[in-house]
Amino acid sequence: MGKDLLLLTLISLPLIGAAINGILGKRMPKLIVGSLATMMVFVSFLIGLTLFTGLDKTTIVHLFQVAKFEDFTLDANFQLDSLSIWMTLIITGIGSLIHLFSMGYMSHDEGYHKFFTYLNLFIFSMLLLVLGSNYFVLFFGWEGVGICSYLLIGFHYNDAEKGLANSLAARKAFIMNRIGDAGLLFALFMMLNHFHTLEFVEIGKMVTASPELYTGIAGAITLCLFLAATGKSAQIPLFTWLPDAMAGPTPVSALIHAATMVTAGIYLTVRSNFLFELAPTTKDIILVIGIATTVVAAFIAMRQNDIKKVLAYSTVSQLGLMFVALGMGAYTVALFHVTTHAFFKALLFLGSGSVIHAMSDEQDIRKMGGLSKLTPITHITFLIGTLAIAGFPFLSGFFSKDEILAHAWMSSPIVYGILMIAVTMTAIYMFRLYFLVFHGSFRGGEKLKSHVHESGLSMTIPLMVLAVLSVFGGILNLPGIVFHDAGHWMSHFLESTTYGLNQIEPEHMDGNQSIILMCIASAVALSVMTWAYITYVKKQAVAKEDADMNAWEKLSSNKLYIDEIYQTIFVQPILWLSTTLASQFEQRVLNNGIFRLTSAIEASGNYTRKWQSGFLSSYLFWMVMGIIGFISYYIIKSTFWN
Amino acid sequence: MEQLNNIGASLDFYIFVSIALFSIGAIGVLTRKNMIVLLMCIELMLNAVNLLLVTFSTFFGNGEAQIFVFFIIVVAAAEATIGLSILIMAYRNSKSIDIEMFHKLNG
Amino acid sequence: MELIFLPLILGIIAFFVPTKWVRPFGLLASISILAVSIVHLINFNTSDYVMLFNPAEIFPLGLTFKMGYDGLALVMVLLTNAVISIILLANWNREISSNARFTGLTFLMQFALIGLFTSLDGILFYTFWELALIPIFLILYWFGKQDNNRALFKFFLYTLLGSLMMLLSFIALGYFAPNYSYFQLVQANFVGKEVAAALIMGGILFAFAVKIPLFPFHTWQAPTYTNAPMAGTMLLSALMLKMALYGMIKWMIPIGFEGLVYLKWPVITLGGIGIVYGAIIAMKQKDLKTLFAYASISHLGLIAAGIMLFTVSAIEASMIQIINHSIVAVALFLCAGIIEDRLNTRNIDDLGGIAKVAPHFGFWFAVMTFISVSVPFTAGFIGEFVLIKELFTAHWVIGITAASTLVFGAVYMLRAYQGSMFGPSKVTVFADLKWNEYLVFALLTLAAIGFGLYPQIIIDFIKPSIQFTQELMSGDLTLTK
Repeated sequence: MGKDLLLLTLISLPLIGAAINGILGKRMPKLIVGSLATMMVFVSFLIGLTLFTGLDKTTIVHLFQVAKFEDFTLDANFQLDSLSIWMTLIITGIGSLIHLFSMGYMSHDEGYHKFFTYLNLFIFSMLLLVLGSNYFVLFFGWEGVGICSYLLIGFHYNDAEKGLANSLAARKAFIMNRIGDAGLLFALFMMLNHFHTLEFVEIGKMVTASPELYTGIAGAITLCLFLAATGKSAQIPLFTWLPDAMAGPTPVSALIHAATMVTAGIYLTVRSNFLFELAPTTKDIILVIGIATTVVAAFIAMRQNDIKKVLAYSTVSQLGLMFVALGMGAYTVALFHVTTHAFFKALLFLGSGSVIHAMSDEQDIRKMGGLSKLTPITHITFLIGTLAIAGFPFLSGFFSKDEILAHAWMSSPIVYGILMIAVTMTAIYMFRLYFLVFHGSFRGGEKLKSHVHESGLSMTIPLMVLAVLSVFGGILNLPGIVFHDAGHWMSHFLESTTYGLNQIEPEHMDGNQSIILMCIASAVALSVMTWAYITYVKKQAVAKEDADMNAWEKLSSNKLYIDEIYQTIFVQPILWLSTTLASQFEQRVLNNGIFRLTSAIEASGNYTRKWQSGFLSSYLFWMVMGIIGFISYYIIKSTFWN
Repeated sequence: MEQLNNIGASLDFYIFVSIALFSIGAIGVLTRKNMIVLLMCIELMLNAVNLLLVTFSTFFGNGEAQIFVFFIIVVAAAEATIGLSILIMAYRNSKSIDIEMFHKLNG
Repeated sequence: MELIFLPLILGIIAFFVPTKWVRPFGLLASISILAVSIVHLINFNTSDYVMLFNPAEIFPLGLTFKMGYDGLALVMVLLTNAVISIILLANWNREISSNARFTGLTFLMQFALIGLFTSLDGILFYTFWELALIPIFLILYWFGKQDNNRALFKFFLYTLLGSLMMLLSFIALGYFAPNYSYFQLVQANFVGKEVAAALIMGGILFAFAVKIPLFPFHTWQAPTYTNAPMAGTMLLSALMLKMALYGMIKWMIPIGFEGLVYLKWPVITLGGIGIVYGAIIAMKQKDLKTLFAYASISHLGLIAAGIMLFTVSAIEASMIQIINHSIVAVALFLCAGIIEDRLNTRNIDDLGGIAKVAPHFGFWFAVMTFISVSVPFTAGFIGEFVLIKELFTAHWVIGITAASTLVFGAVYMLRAYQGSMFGPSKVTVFADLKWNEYLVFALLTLAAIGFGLYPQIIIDFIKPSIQFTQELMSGDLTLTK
């Protein structure tokens, strides 16, 4: 098979899976439904691997022309290059593991076939997003993943207790994403007006050929693109949907809201790097927003008591970190963190899923504790994930974070300082979570304890695979200063897509500095780990109740009141406007205005009607008066104006 | 010529009489409520016009207008007949010939 | 000729069909009319201008009675016929479809609509425009809620006022062209009389604005929709409104281009206000039909603003959006109708949890919701994309205003959907879909996805007619300017 056909097969397999499961899934046994969906994604992954090994240059596959308008065309084209294939591997690789996990996790759910249909549809949309060769196909996928995300967050809309909350969370996610989508739309329009094409390669060529022509418009376009990225990748100001999105089933949180969809914003930025390089202001804005998000989210995560909420804010925080890298122009570094983050965050989410499954759908960490013996595999893998995200030396997260920190150090020590605070907080909330869940004594009561059990193989295998990846993921992109030629394999692999504008190594960085930075990071991780061990295991400190908290803790536990603030600033006024317009303007001004008009006409008729008295003498009187009037008019006219 | 001058000298009188007759008729129509009087007043106005026509006819030495006057007198007679018969019908219906009783056509 | 008169003949026959046979007769008749138009489609070459009736002489008062269609008109004729079939199908399990008067009136309306789309004479256009009003008025009067006099009065008053203005404008147009033939009218020369042209076009536009409806002229819509029977709402929303949009594209722009430069931005502004205004009001509406009515104002504001840009791309996108809106209108009002049928209420506050008891309806309503918020793979996606793009190119403020529909649309549609289908189970008994409803939803989805993946088919059809009009227009004036 040619590359074209392979690529199209890769994209269409999940769609076929979704179609089959969607139409026939209800009548098929669960095992077939689940394994069909999983196989589709896994085969896609294998095809992706084939393409990955045979990759040589950027290939564009033309499928068909969607529409041709006067001055632009919309094409369904796909692009095969190192960046798209890299993202494809992450999506299908992690995707097939999570599909496998879901087969166990969702086994008791009545909407089993629906779940896999949506999940496959999501993979399809995500593949469209990353494999499209122009912004239009990207936008197709971009909206598509939004819908799948909506469907999957609100998957349990029928739940007696949480049904309403689930569907509201789904709606919130969809609407907030749509705000970002509007940004992407504007970016597309501006590109169409200035480049008359949406193909990445062509825009890239134009921009690199004469950058000075496009510096102005690049600023506007990149700002809009970044707005889109904040929506999809949950950055300030549009990040509040992601924690709420945890209402979805846990595999969904792992796949969509940790590993793949939320990194679409980063993919978009990397893909458009040729534009971002022309817009230093936008990059500064990205840097600032990235820093703010990473700190704020880490701060909120420290006092959350829902296991998934902690991980959700952690995701927001890590995404912020990736945007910091993007803001500094370190595109491949951001992608490296995307990759390792996909490994360990998927692992952590699936681990939490396994815990929730074991705890009979209890998510409150105050009711957990001491699970290390009851669920050994989950415990070990979760520990690996925790260590990886906290930056424990030589695990994947350590290397990827270190790259970002090294870039930050070189750009400004202040940025580095703030990031270190965030990194420390990350270690704090992760170890707090880990110790509270797996150590100490069980706090959920005896009845619940008897139900706790380790999950089945279909759930533990993905955990183990992801744990291995989380440990060794760092090998993909070892720091070049220390490892010389063996280092930066991934950065070199992705080099071709960044149009020569990218810096792989921080400038003026010598080996010693690099090693010192690594040591600092390791020291922080280790000391926080020790501190957390003492606090939560030795002293048996349990998450506090609201009443005992000090102001800072309250702020963290109440998510900085951001939801409430948005509610007051945006939602309430618009709803007020809606009611007011409907009852006041619509009814009083427009509606009554029309009836005023008709009643005015009616009133004038009523008035003139009275002249028609029926009395002959009055008619005659007015007739005579009229005659006299006319005659006197002409007499006066002929007398005085002649 | 002499004759004409005489008439010319007295033309004003004819016109004044005619205007007076017409005004009396018009005021009568406007103010009286008895339908018979109304009809009479209309007759009066018609005759005022007739008088004017005859006067001018003589003044200009053109007899055509005098023929018209005869026509008008005939028409007036017919009109008076119809008017009176309507009046009688109205009286039969309402036992009154007061014009103010008949205002069913009001708006 | 049979294209126009078949509905008239069948409509008259329908009044005399015994009640037992009305339902199958109606559906078969509408399908046969659709088939006739499909035959026309097959024989049609996109670059043709097919004349159905073309008398050589010119009748008194400059009447010509020319009738015929180009790609644009044929698309509208097909849309009309398809939508009427679908409306009759959607009403299959409802009492109204066994009513001879209803079926007859529907066909008479179809006759008027096809006549309107194929007329190539100004006065003929006006005649059909008025003619279309009579059947729908009677449908609303006979089959609507009993106490709907006030709403009907408003509807009639508005449309009549609009039609009056239109008639005056057409009479005035007679002074600028030798006769009322479309081909003469488009060549009417207004050079040096732009203000007169603006006034004339303003009159025509007023009629269109009422029917679309544009922002301040929309107050007839919500009460009329709410009081109308489901079929009446569908006819109004899916077809009647399209007359005005078609009129804008086919008649108003080519004829009065010189005058429209004065009206361009006012109308675009009104469209922009309508987009936001309709959406904001829709957010808090409780009655599903009222909500969809305001949503319709929002959608149509976008289309009207797009048409007024006079760019070829915008007009092509408007056509896609017109077709999409017909699909969405039928779909959403069917959903509201289904809920009303089963539960006798459309108030979102009284609904909830329907998806649990009627999963199939829940699924299809969700699909229709997504189609109406213009997700990818549906016709609305391409249409909205290009329309907003063109508006954005014209001016960024109107572009951003128009793009708000993306967010607001999601807000009110999801609120409507979730409020009725999810949430606390207030509804415990709900008969799931009947076969005809399944069929309607499936057909609509198929159409939406088909046009969403390959909108080029619509563009190919209408492009030559837009270019043809361009050629007809005198010399230096082009659509793109």
